[in-house]
Amino acid sequence: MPRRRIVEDSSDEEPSQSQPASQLSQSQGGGEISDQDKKVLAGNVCNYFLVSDCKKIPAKRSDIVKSVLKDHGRHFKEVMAEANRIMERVYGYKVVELEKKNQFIMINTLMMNNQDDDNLLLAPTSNSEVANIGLVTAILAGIFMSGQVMQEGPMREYLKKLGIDIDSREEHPTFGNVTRYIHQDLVRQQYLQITLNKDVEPPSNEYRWGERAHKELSKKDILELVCKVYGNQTRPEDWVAQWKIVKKEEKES
Amino acid sequence: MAEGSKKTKKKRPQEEPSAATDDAADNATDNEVAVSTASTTSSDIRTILDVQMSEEANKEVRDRYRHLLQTVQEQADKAGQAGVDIANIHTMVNEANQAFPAVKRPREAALDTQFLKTCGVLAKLNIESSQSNLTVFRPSEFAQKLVYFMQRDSEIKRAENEVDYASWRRFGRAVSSLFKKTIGIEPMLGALEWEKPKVVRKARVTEKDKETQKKTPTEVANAVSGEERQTEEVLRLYKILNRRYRESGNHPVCFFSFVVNPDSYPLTAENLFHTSFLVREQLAVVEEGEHGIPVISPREQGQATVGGISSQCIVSISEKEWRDIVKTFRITQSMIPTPASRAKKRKS
Repeated sequence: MPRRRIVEDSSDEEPSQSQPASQLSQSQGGGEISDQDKKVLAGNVCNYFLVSDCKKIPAKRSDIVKSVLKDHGRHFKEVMAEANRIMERVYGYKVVELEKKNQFIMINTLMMNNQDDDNLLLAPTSNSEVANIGLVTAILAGIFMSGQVMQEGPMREYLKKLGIDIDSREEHPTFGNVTRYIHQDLVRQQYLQITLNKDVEPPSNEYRWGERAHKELSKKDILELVCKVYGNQTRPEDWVAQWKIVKKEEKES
Repeated sequence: MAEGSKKTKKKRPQEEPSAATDDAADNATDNEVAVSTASTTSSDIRTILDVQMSEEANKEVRDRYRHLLQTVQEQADKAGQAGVDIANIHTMVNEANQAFPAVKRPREAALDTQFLKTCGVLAKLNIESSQSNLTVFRPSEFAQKLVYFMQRDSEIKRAENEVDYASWRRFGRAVSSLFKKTIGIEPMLGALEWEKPKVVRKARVTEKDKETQKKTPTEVANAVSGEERQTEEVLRLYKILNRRYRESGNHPVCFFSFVVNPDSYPLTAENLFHTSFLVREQLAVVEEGEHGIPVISPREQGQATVGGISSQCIVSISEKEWRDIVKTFRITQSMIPTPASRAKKRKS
């Protein structure tokens, strides 16, 4: 079967990352994918990830196959492996599959320097998101310290003390529509997991860490942050139950 | 629950007495119960009375339990992780014990069950927390410390609950290094397929151009801008005014005779409009003449304001007034001749 030659006229850009998929060679019957094609597809998958990561919503396998791989859907695993390699090599980003299967997020493998509070260079948070990260951290810390789950009542009280009304749809000066941000955006981004507990009267929400939170944060860091906030030379070990969880996480990683 | 089963046992014998009471109602007053069936006993009678006469009592019992449940919930919310104080739970269970004897029906019993279950959960929480933590985490306490932590570097001291935008940002920036976060990239030209935009060469349409060119020169001659026409008109009016003024021996001209066009109201309005410009430019002056009738006279350009105080006023002529003026002043011909182009328009 004659192959179409891959046209090289877009040569002033970096090689191979962004060539249109239409220029791939015809797929051969046996299910083998050529190295060249694999590289091209992987490059496109990387692009797909980089763009979908803007919204922080997990990327689905079905979407990737539909938009990027098209006819080469059956080579998903191989292409993904290659894409993962490229991301780690080029950006230090790792593609992680969520528990739900066939959904993917990316995390940053470069270790941040915790000592420097002002280390802006290595803190990849866009300006508009910076305040939101503060709120997310506060919520996650509260949940973790409360035994990894916080009920709706205590959560409401907790946020009230921080100047945030959890039920309000009005524009909070810093965070806008708070109730939507917490209950929709953060859940969709996998930072929070909210379940409805029907056993209590009236049925109320339970707040837990989402998968992305588990992957992006280390519980040890959170515990150390809490100690810093408390001051008074509080040590992480003083929080017995939480310290146990931290130790377990360390052993697992 | 033992009490619960007692209730069901009582229910069955109740069915028989109810048949008896139906008969009784026919023969006796509400307060009397005539029992004719042999199977009923005195305790059954008491049951009937209890059930029938204590609707209010039952409601009272339900209210008590609801109040208890509410109290328990409030306490749970306030206490958070540590769980409600044991003494408090103890008090509430005692209250429930006191309320229980008044419970007669499954409905209230269900409330009682719910309440005890909640108490049980709280007690369990309390035990867990007191055993495992030497330091107890209280979210409210943490929140307060967090607020203080966020505000400590801020110059503006604010109220306790208010963490301002800048403080959140500062906190966010400090903690963002804890996250293994990635940043996406938004490309300008789309992420997947894109090609260099092709230059679409348009075929020259030359014939059309020639046609349009033929038309435009004739149009240009007639297209005088609105403003220019206005100035033209004003100047025209000035010339006419001057002529009339000289013809009448330097006598001021009757204002209405000058402005009004007996054949057309719109043109009158226009004349008035143009005259106002004349007056503004001080090329004409309107004063009160004989018998209080306004008169208008021209002035040389650049002449200083003639005595008096310069004032502004709004003059209007409605259509009816126009007709009256034409009649009163017997204006037969307009001083300001109708412009040629307008005359054409009117004819067509």
